[in-house]
Amino acid sequence: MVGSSSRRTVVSAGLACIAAAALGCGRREPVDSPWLTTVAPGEPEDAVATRAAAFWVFVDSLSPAARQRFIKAFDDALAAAEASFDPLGLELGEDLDQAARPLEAFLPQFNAAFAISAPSWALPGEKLRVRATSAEPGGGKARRAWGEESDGWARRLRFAAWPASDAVRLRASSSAEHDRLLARLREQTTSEHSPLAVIVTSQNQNTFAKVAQRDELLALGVRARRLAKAARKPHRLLELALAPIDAAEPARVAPWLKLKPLESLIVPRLATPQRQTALTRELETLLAGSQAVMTGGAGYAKFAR
Amino acid sequence: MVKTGIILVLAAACVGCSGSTDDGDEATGSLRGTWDVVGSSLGRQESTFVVTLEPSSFTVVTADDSLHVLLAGDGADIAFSYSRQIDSVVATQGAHGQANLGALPIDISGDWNFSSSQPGGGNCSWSLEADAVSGSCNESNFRPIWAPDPGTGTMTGRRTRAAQSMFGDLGGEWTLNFTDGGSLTAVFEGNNMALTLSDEIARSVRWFNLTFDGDSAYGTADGGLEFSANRR
Repeated sequence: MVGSSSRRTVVSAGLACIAAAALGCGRREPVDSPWLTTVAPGEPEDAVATRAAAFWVFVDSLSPAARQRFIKAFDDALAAAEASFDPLGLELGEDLDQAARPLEAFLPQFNAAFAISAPSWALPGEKLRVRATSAEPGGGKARRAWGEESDGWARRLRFAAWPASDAVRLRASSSAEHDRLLARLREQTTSEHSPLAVIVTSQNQNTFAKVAQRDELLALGVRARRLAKAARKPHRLLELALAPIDAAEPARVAPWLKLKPLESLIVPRLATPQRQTALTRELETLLAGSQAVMTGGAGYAKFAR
Repeated sequence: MVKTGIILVLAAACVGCSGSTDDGDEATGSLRGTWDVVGSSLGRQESTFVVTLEPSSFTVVTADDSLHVLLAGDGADIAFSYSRQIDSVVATQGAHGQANLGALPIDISGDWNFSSSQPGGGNCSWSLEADAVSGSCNESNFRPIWAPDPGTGTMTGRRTRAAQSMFGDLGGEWTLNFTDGGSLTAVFEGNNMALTLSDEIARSVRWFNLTFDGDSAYGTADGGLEFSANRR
C-alpha cells in the first residue's frame, strides 16, 4: 500500500509539475501577502504628497522613448498656454485642453501610479477606507490582499484596494537581470494592449532623486507654477506639472510592502479585463527565459495553488 | 430628461452585468445585483460609487449623494440627494413597452412622463421601443443638479443596424438626433457598448466604451478616463 501510495504521490507530483510548467509555475514561491483592513476616515490625506510620489513613480515606469514623448507633449502644452500668457488673468480653456490631448494617452498609467501611491482607498458605498498593512491587524475583519479567501468581504476589500491586491511582485536573480527586466517592463507600460501600468522598485520606494530627466521635469513644474499663478481657475494639466515641485516631501509609495533591491511590484491598469489573470499571464511571457521569479500577487497566488 | 434618461440607462449598463456569452453572440445573465464601481480621476483620489439594480428599483449611491428609483404600479418615484438637499421627481408610465432589454433587469421601455414634485418645475417625456426612441423636455430644472442638463426640445432616434447584444432589442447601432443640435451614436454589440457624442452636446466626455465580463466590467472614456466594476 505504501508503494502504491508513493507511486500515486510521484505521479501526482509529476502531473502537477507538468501543469505548473505549462504556466511557468516552476518559478513561483510561497506568497507572503500584505493585509487589507478598514479604517475610519480621519484627517484629509495629503493629496499633494501623493500626487508628487505618483508623478515620479509614473515617470520612472516609462521607457526612455515614452518618457521623451511625455516630456515633449508636456512642453508643447505648456508652450501653448504660455503663448496666451497674461499676468492679469490667464484663461486656460479649450485651447489648453486641445494642446493637452497627447498627454491623455498617459493618464491610465498616471492613475495607476496615483492609486498605488495613495495611503488608503475608498470602500464604495461606505464611510470607511481600506488600508494595506504589512502585518496582520487585529480585529478579525482583515483579509490578505493576495490570499485565497473568496468571501464577499474579501472581494470588496480587494476590489477597493485594486492597486495592491491586483499587483504582482517580481524578484530578479542578479542586478544585471533586474536592469534588463525593468527595461523590458518599461517598454510595456505604455503599450496599448498591455495590462502593465506602473513599476515600483526598492529604489523609487525610497527616493526619486535618480529618476531619469528629473531636471527637465522639474523645469516644467517651474513653468507651470508661473502659469498657475496667473490662471483664473485651476487646470488639471498644471496640477500635473506642479506635482513634482509642490510637495515638501513626496509620499512613500506602497509602504506596506518592503521591496528588496532586486524586487519590483508591477501594478496593472485599472481598466484591464480580468486584471489579475491578465497581468500574471503577461508577466509569465515577459519572464520566459530569465531567472526572475514571481514572489507575490493574487493572480500569482491563484496559479500557484 | 431626454439625455439624462439615456445617460441613466447607459450608467446602469456601464456598471456591469453577468454577460458571459457563448461564442460571444448570445447574451445571457442579468445586470441584477449590487455593483461596486471605481473610476479614475486625474491626480486625485479615485471616485467610487455603488449601483444596485433590481427589477423594481435602481439606486446609485456615492459618498455624499444618491439617486433612488422605485417602480410601483404605472409609475416610479425618483428621489435624489445632493449636498444633503433632497428632491424628487414623479414619473408616470403610459403605454407599457414591449422591448426586450436583455440583461437590464429594470424595464424602462414604453412611454414615460417625468415631472417635478414642485409646482412649475416643468416636465419631460421619454419613449423607448424596440427600434425607436424619442423624448422631449419643456423645462428640466427639476433634475438632479449633478445630472446633465437635457435642455429643451425634442430628440428622436432609431436603430439603424441590428446586432446580437446582451441588451436584447437594444442590440445594434442607434443614432439619436436632438432638435437643438447634436447627435449621439450608441452601439450595443455582444458584451460591449460604445457611445459617441457629437461636438454640440459633448462636454468633458465625447466617447466611452464598456465591456462586461462575468461579475466584472471595465471601460475607458475620452481623456484617458478608466473605470472598473465588480458585482458583490
